[in-house]
Amino acid sequence: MKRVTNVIITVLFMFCTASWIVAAENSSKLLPLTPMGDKFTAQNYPLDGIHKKLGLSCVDCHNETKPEEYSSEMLGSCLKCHGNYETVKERTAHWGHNNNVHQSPHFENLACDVCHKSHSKPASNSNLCVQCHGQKTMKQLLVK
Amino acid sequence: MLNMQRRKAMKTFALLGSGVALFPALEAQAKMLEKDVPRWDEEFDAIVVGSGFAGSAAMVSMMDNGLRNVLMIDKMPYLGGNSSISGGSFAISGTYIQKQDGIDDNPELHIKDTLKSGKNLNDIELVRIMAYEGLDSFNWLTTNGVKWKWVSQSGGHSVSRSHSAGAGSYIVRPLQKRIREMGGKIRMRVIMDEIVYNEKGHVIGMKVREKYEFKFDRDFDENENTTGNTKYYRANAGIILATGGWGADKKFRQQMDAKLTPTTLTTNHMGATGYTIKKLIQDDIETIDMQYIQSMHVTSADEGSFGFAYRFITRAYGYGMMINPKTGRRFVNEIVDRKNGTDAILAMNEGGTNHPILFMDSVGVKTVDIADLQRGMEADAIWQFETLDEMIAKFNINKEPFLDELKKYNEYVKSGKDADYGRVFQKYKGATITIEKPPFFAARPGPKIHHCMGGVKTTPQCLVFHKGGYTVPGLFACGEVTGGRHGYNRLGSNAVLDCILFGRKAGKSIADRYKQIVRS
Repeated sequence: MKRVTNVIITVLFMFCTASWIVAAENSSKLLPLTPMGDKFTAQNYPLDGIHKKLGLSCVDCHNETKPEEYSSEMLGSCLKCHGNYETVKERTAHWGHNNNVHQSPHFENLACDVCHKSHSKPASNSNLCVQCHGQKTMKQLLVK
Repeated sequence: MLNMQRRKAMKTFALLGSGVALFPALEAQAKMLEKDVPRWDEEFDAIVVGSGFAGSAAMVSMMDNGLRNVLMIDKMPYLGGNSSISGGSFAISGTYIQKQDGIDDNPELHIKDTLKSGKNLNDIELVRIMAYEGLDSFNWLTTNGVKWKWVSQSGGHSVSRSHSAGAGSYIVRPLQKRIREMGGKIRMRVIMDEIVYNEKGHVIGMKVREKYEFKFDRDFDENENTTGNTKYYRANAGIILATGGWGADKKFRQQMDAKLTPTTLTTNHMGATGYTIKKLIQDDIETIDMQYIQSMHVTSADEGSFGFAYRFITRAYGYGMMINPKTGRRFVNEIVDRKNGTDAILAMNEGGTNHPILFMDSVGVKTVDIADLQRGMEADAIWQFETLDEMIAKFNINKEPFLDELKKYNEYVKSGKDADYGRVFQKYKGATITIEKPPFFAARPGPKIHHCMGGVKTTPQCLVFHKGGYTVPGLFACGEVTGGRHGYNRLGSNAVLDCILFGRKAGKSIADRYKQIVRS
């Protein structure tokens, strides 16, 4: 009986490992819909695009001393590279007809992570403006 | 006498009031007591929960009254909740703008309109305070940096008394600035999980989670969100609840009003859940009018949220005509209040499959700001037609009776007498407007859940009632989380008045309590 249990455990272990490898391979191509795992590691929270090319590490953005305290709130660290709200406002000024996504009259200096996710690719457009402003020129502004 | 013995057993809560007894019972946990707090992580003199009109006004007010070590928290990653995205009009009589525009108005007329829409279920004392003391709060906002743009008439008000600064954010943002200038702390992504009571039953702090990550998913139950790190905040003089309504909580709103199915659309931001009100009910806080949840009929059936067509629709209720496409005829006085307008539409729209058609001609459409009109058209919520036939074809309107109805409508406008629905035709730049000159512009109104009239029962000074009939020391509430002000149905623009006025009172009350505690 004990041997049977051992075999089952071994098979389960191999199966789980195999699925984990498959998942890891996929994640190197595409970011997951939601970040994986409870533990804040670089494997569980991969990067994409320019953040990946620059080889950023966790502590480049997360200011907390303990990894278990990490959250998506960047406490302004995005602006270390992206300048300030004035800069991003100018970059998107010509999009969205007469609505600039970075110049909302509703929220002053809205936190970046409300729309932008660095460790996942949301299934739908995470542009907060679209929740109320459904005009085509706004809907077509997809969050990068 | 207070019975503060901790109730270890799970307690079943049954809602008060007729017609709600059949709803599922809410399971309640015991209250949190001081002895259950492992340590106080931080200490404040007062804490405000929620950062909309009411919470922001409460913060400024308590600092005006001498408090300094104060904190305002919001669970969302942005400030202002529904207030920030609302139309943000303030209803009051006797302002300098009304005088400039030659509008004859007074508090008694405001009370009359408010009670009529509230079916006299309002707490008359609170309504009188709003109508008579509201002007002071209006002027207080002006002093605190709010710049008013215009006054207009919204449904159910008998005169133009809705004062707009543009959007609600043009009220909360100046208040946020004032809070920061005066040294008040503001924190986002902090959610209140429990109110902490001492052995006498006084509120002395709260259990919160910092770095709370709100899940932006309309079908997600907030009770299942376990993100964030638990902390305990001491609040020496107590806390002010300004957490808003629960219009976006699909489960809870249906428990209050069974007609509100999960597919019903809402104008509310996703954060408007029942998370706090459910906790309050578990703590035996008294609630009133919970069954009254308002849907608003100025939004478009063709937009998922608040949308943009409402700018057109609100004008068209004043200067246009609304018909049932199947009959081709009008079915209501277009300028009725939200409740009656919503009920009339729900009675004819066949579960959202036969939307009404609301339209104006090229003269009427001049009452709409051009940018608002264009955005509504871009969102496929407003359409332009060069001829009536085009419009009839697009919406499959019953042609013969419709043309007859339109002819009759134009005669009514010209004679100034609506023989069918008793509508008073508004003037624009001195003249009423018929529907004759193409092109024509149309939208399809669709009611959406908008405001929770009911909530926590308070005194006029915003002290919160326990179910035992006494007020809970250290617990204050203001804004949409409270009940009693609006009765059966809230008039448009009365909420901003309610929130700012009672927010200020709550701030004053908690400052007074602080002074008492320090003295004793």
